[in-house]
Amino acid sequence: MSGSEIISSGEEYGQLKISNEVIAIIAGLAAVEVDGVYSMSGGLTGGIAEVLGIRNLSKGIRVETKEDKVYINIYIIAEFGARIPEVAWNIQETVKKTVERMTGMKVMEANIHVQSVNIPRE
Amino acid sequence: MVKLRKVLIFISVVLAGLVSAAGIYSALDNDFLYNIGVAIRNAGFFSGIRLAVILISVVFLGIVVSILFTFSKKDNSKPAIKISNAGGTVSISSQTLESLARLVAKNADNVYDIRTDVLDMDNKPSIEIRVKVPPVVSIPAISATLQESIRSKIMETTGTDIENIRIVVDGIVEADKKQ
Repeated sequence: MSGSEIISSGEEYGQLKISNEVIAIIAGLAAVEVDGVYSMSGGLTGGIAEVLGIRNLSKGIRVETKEDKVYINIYIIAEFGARIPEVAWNIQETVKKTVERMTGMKVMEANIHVQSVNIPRE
Repeated sequence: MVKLRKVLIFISVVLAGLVSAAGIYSALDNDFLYNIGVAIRNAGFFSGIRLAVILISVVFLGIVVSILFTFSKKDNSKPAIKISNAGGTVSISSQTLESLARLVAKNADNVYDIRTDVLDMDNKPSIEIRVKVPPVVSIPAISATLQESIRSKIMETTGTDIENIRIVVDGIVEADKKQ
């Protein structure tokens, strides 16, 4: 998570502030629903947190905001057999639509990082 | 991952600083280490001071081991393939390619002790697969089959054609040693 800086828009009745953490959670929940995504990849710290029972809804998501533009990096573990370019495109579309619908902000980039592929156990 | 490593390095540096300070102090004060030794010896087995010494030592050892582990571990989450599309970029790590290649090799006949490595990171990755084979097979035939299977699996999964798949046969095994 790249900081928790806040962004604002809409000043008719006051300011609206949405933290990067909230955008990351929205993106994470949307991404994990896409077919071909086995799980989000949160690295060692994410793994330890999970073992300890701490649920991290923004796992594997990094958000940067510049004015009202959003740049999202999404780290996933793909399912074995999935076609990665198709899965990546579906994630980009889903995350973009969901984040834009819920926040009103423009998603400029949704970069997908396939960290690994889940190999089924025999 | 990087943050965790920084925290571990910070904690180990602080502990190393404390140990160094204790070392310097003990050089100046003859009785310092002796008193600590006596305190530990006189304390009960489950005493606070003994537990604290054990705990600090275990934490320090754990940190040093984990730092060595994270430094020695090959970083194969680096992107081996990078594709740009209208939504941004898609990066596929070396680990993904290695997993796919290893799985294909594992399911192939007459291939043992498989080790994989992605060599080139210049958006044109090449894969090296080190294997052992039994003494009764045609190595060129096995290599050709393996190369073709890995190439088509990676093409199917990532949409990228890996031009260079190098098979290194680095040993002979007995046929009943399948892993």
